[in-house]
Amino acid sequence: MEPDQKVLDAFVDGELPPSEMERIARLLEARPDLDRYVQEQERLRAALRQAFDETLAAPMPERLVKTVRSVPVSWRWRLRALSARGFSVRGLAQVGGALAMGVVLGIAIRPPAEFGTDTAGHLVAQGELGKALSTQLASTRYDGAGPKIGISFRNKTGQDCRTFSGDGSAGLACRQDGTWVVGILVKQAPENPGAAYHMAGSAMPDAVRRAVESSITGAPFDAAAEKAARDRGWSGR
Amino acid sequence: MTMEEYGPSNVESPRTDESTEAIRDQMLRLLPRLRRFCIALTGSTADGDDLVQDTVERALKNLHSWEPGSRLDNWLFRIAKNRFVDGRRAARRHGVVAVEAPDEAARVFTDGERFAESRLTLKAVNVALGNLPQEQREAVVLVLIDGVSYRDAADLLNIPIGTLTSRISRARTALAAVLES
Repeated sequence: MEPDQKVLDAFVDGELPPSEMERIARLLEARPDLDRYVQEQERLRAALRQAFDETLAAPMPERLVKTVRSVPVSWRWRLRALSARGFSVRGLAQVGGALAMGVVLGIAIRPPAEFGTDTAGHLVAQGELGKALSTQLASTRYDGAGPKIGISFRNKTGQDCRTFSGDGSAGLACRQDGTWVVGILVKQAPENPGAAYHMAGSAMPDAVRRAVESSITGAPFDAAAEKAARDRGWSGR
Repeated sequence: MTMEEYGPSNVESPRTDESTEAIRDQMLRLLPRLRRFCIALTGSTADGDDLVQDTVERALKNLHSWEPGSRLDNWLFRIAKNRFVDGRRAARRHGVVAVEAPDEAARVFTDGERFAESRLTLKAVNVALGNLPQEQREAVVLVLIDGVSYRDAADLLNIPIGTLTSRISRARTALAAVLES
């Protein structure tokens, strides 16, 4: 059967089944006209690729490398990676299910404006929540507006950590390199649907409570220790 | 219950996420190919680099829409191609039209040699590619320059393989005519 142009092109591109490749190769030996076309197309293909050789070998512009290295990934991806990690980290395994569920629900409902990622890819608290974590004392009276801070404590790696709740979610954040890195974030049904932020300390979700239990060293901060920690900028030990 | 009652175990705060860093590394390795694709698509190094940057930014900001385990290169190429097409549409809406250089198309070799005996310059190839219809250019850049398989290219462009091969064949004829002239 006489091969048409598309078949010869596919031969040049190596896209024919082996038996067909062989048949065309044999045919070309007997048909200089077809062989000429194939050779011409092979040269075209090689020339096109060659024209970009220098581009391919050139040093990559710094701005492109920097973009790959520094643009924050989507928070949805970050949360997914975080929940996947939760299953593999020692001690998080038992809360992984609750954590993953909380994360999934949280994503489905709305993006948390209080969260972002730092350049290292951590999920970090920002905005109102970041401010509350840095400044709010659990011992002072909560006026019912904005995020609410629960307990504060020192974890086993020496970081200052605080639980928080509000806007239908609750979690645990620890101070690291000047930011609040969120280790646990779970969806929480509000006790009073009319109130955007509401949680009493006793209503801490199990996943958060277990995370505190497994990471705390010593006792939670009392009012004096909490204030002292705040005045030190939550620098830990 | 007091906190002192809590038993010891370990919860680590999440550190730099390895999977995200691995993807950044993978993207860095793909950058040369992506850059070649974008330069060939746009017809210039400057525009190509802008398209690479735009593509990478968009990819990272929408990383959740990439399916882990699927081809990252194909996903990036698809984003680049869509951004390029969107950009051209927007330019047309605003009355900006791409300036082609038909005169240059015929002068792909300064010495007038056939492409068979000479090395094509990047500029010459970009001019020749620029004279192809958009959909033929995409197909050529993917298959002839990047070496993507028919199946992957058709998938990436969201067209049947038959349509892809027709576009490539038409483009080949046009390119051979221009580059040989």
